[in-house]
Amino acid sequence: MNEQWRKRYRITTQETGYAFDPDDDLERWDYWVFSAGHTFPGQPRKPMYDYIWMNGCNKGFRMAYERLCLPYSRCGFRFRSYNGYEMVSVSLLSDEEANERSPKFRENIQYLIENYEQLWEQVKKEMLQWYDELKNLDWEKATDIEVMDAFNQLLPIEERMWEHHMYFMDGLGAIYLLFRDMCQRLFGFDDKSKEFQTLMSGFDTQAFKFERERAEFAKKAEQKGLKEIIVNNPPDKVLEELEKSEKGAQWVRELKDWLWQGAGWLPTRMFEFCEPNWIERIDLSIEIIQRYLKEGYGKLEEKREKKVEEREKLEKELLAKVPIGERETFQLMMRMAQKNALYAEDHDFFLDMHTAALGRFVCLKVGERLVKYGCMNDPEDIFYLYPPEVNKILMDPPFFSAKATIERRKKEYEEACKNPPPPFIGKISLEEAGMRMAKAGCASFTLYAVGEVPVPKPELKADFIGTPVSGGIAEGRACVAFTKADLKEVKKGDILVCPQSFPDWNFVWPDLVGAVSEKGGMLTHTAIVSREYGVPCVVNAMGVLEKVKTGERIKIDGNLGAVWILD
Amino acid sequence: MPKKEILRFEEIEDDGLDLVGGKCLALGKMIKGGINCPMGFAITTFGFSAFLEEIGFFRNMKPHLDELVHCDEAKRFDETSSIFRQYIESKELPQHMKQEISSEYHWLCRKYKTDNVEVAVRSSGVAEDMADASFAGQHDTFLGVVGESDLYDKILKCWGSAFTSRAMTYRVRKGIGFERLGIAVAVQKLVRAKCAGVGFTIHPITGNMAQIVIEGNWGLGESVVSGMVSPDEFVVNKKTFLLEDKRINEKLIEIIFDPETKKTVQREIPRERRKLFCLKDEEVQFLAKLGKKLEAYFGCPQDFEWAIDDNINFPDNVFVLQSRPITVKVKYKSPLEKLADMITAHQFGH
Repeated sequence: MNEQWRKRYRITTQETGYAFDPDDDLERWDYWVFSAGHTFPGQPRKPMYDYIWMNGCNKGFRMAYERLCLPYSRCGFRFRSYNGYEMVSVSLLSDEEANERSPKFRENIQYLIENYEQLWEQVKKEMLQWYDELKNLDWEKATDIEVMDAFNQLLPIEERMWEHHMYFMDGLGAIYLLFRDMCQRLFGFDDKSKEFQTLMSGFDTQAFKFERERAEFAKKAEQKGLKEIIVNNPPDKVLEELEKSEKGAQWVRELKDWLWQGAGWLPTRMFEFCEPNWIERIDLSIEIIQRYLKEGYGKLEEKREKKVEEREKLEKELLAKVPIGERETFQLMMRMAQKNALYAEDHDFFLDMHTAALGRFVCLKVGERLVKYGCMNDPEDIFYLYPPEVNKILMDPPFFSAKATIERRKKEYEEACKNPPPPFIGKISLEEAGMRMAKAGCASFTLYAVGEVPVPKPELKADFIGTPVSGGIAEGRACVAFTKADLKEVKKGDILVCPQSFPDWNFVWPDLVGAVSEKGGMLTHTAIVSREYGVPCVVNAMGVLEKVKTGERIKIDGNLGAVWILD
Repeated sequence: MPKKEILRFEEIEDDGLDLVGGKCLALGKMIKGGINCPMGFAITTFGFSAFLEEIGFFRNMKPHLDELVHCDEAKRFDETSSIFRQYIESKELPQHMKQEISSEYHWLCRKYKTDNVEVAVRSSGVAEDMADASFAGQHDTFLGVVGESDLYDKILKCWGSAFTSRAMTYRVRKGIGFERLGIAVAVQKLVRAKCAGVGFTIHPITGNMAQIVIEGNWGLGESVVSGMVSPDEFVVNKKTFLLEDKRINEKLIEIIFDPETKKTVQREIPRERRKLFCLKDEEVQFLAKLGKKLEAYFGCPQDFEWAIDDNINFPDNVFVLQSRPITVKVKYKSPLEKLADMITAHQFGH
């Protein structure tokens, strides 16, 4: 094991309670993987989010697995903070323990299948109600204690959110993995095939619903004669211009209202509080509306309807090949696997993206108050504090300051940006670790977070090998995007290259001929949207972000999982 | 297969169903497949037909047979059954058959290095009425048969079981005649069982395909097969062979073969053994693996009878006495339940 990292590593995230401890965390356990897809090198988490995420996600996973009782894992993923970078490992139980747990699991999975729709509705309702309580608090008039109490809701919300999140993801995911294997056995195609992709496409996701609603604003603008103003000005200027007329101001109010009601509660950077939300970045919505006004809306809807037709036809064909006595069971399995694909998209809005946006909102309100009291200089400085420290200050704000702590933290953060962890720290080989992670049966591992380890294919002479998730070959100009802002650079005919993508990036896909992501699996966003748009896509192409630069010509093969640099 | 009157189990070919019946055919297959079965021989349906011919059964019993075909009264079937069986049991085996049987019996004695080796004599049916498990009755299994004389006697009694009222009613109702009476007799070395019982290669009640169920009691398996006792129950995972469940039942009675008196007796189980598991975990797992082998070999879930001999070392002392396709009615499982089963089993497929 390469021990270089030990010389550089000085724990600074002790306060999270989950700081990576090289002694304790390797004493009784064998390995930790650097989750670069979540915290890219150079982009560690800041203290506030790190604390909330580490505590929320570790607890949530544990509670979800308590409800599922997956045979081979007691708590799924274990997370540690390596100075804001995410380290992950998966707990694995023995065959004996798994055997003991399997009757309970069977009971629980049957319950989930039977009640999924209802449970998911209940969860959405529960969480949205909780979010609304914090959103609708009168932050100006609230007392310091009321503000503190509201702020302290963030951690329980996060814990509960992750519990629901993983309960559905790894519960439905288990069915999805079975279905995938059944298709291989009965029909001979795997989950990278066109057939399987067809079965999982054509569903109406929350993201698509939002886009339809956003398009309505484009139509309304056109009806009200506002098209010219919107189309002929840069996005930030548009708002200024619209406010000049009553019609325009009304339209802006309605847009802001709509964002406040739902679509705006998305962050522009995943897994952090420190970037603006869509309710703040109205210019992002304006940008999209500009495109709709210029190019029209409907491409996606048409494509989706065609996908539904294709899917239903294929479902009938496949069912006819299943022995009669097995058909009902197979159909149920297929429906649940499809629900998994839909959940994969929708949970973003109702769960983790929403709580991230909400967390930023609440923290900034608290930050504004602390600035008013003179405890710190900038509301965004609050992201350098840990929740208990915020409480400490809020107890007696006129008398205490957080400025020195914040300065110190900013320096530590700079250091952390330069010192990411090694990709793998372990007493066993990466292969062995991969096998253990696969055996644990956490669907979230196989399908989402890390993806399957790509099979080397030297005969292709490719520069990168990843997981093929949407078929076809594409050649084009690479456009590298780390954040939503970078998408401005995308030109028609480009191939997107990213660490991973998010639902609010959907609008750029009509311009793309291909997509490549550094991390991910079959059900990560990049894969799902690429399939919806029929655009070749390779995920988990490790190393691509380091080597490929915007402007370089690349070629990808979405059936083989290969990427070549052409220049 | 050539039409012989006596066949050793190891001589039975796959096309021998009509000649030796289901039980013997399965034994032949198992022995060929290397499964540990007690040795023995079968008196074939050909032998039975020859016997009936020799005693002029159809000629002498014709009036009764003719009546039956047009009869619907259960009482008449009972009476006729009695007449037929008495007729047969009053006869003697033809001399040449006695010689052959004696010769085979002595072969068996030599194989097991005993004079007058103890055997089990069971009927092995061909037609559906014989294959139906629920048909099992008192007249077709005899344990602890010792010596030629006893053997001849029990063979006659087994042949008589072709004529139980139930079997005859079935034939008449289905319009199957009495000409081709497919009854063979299996003569098999009796295992000196310290414990014995049955195994199912799927759960016989829930139909769970991922489990094997073993049931057992002390002594010979008849106590379990006949339903005389509530046996110990073991549920094993078919993939990992780990025990998922085991349940002790208070076992009050056992049937054993007493080597001194050369008789099978039914007796009370001494107190200290009543609440003791009759099988060790490793024995259960071995039986489960055997069961899985049988299922794979026969191509469908099996219901098998096993016995563990107390005079030989493990695992050579584990014997399969019979195996047949499962006929237990499985409880209907909804698609939801089946799916939950599949998902659970899939977790162990890594």
